Amino acid sequence: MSADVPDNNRARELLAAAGLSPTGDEVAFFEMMYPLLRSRADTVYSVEQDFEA
Amino acid sequence: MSDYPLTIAEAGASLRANRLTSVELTRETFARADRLDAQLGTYLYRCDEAALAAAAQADEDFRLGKDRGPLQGIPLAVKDILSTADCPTTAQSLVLDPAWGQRGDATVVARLRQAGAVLTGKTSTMEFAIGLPDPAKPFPVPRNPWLISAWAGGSSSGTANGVAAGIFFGGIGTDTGGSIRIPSALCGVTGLKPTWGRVSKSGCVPLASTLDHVGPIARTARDCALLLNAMAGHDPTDDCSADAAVPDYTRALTGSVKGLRIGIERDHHTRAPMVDPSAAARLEEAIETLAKAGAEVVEVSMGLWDAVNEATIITTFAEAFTYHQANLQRRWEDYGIFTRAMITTGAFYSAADYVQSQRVRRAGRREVLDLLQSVDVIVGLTMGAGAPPVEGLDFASALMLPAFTAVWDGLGFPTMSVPIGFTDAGLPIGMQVSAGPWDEARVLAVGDAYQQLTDWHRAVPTMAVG
Repeated sequence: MSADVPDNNRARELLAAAGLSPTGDEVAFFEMMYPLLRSRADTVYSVEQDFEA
Repeated sequence: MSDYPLTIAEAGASLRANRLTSVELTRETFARADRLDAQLGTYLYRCDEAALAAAAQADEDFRLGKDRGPLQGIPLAVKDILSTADCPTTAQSLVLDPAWGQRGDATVVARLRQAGAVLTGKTSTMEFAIGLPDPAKPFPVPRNPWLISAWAGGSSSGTANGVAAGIFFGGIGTDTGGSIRIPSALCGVTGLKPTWGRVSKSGCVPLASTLDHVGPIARTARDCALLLNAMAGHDPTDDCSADAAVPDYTRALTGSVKGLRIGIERDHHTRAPMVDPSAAARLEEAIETLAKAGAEVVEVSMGLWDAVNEATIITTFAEAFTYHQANLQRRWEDYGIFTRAMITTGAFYSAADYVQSQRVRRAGRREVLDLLQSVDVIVGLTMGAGAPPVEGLDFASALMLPAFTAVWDGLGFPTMSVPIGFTDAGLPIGMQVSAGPWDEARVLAVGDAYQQLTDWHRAVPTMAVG
């Protein structure tokens, strides 16, 4: 299960939704980092337990 | 001073034997800071006048027969993430409201003062205990006394490099993902992250509130025990503070590991990517030392390691982003470039990511508690390499550093980094010793026993000799 789909444009959308205004270079950095961070985040969904049991 | 003591315990013995006074000791620590701090970037602020007044009071108390305990008259320093009555509190940031630090002493600072400690000043950190050294901002870049071109580690950078260089005898650090243990390992000193809730966070600028820990850094495990004795205990002003009994931690320091069951975790430490083989060798040598002293060593594996590690990272960035979002919107440029980059990644995680991360942390706790049915402590490397160069450090490269600390923040269990020697390049390496919740005494006992068998903790960087 993944909570999100890696998508470079998604980084720009999330920054705007958060009300943030990074510089152009920083936006490019976040676009580069976003798929990496999302990929790493998927690790937490590898734990398949019934947590609410 | 030719007979300058190395440790809190030694300094305390010298004070009580009238071999030196607290004022002499404090003046000597400031003389060392005068000589070394421009290179090391240890202090953000020094409190010379207040410290010398506290030292004179400690001497007067000794003269009158009033002894408040092992910290009386001992020069200690405080990471500039904790508020202090007599020094500014900045979190090494242009963003923190100056009023934040005007609340007086943080609980843990007040406790050290009550114990008679001489607080010499506020030490460097990374901005808000996250980020990386940023030369563009008006704050020192903390460097490593073993190799001045190398980083001190962070975020309790100045507390660790100051202890290593003898600029003070110990101090307070904070640890959210490794910020006590990483600089301790990289600078060759001892640092303890207690159980979450053991030491009050009241007066500590938050980074990630479910992960932040306050703890001691010193040269030895015994000194950390002396500091924790003063620091630990319930604080009703901190909602996260646990009302748990606090033992005298020095009572556990028997020097023996005979019969102790040590679980060595290699799968996610020495077998991890990017680990310096000489660091791995030092860990094996340390384990052999403990085994020869009578410990029973078995290999264990923490199956949820990677998931808990990532859950801790997600939690850190999500909680930090929550705290900083409004200021990031208004004052983006005032944040350091690495700080704003790291914290902003919190915007990339969803509510589901955060909730799943808390589930994984709970699952990780259950797994490790099960493991601790068969072993008393779990050991591994603190960092899989020596200190990296300051030049070239950035967010992406920092993510690649072989740090093995964050999992223990996510679990909230006590863990300590103890120096175990040097890499082939001559940089310090630390061993992490971890136990179950509220069992700091066992962690300290293992560290102390190891330090009675070795002398890595007594190594002094060349620049600090004399």
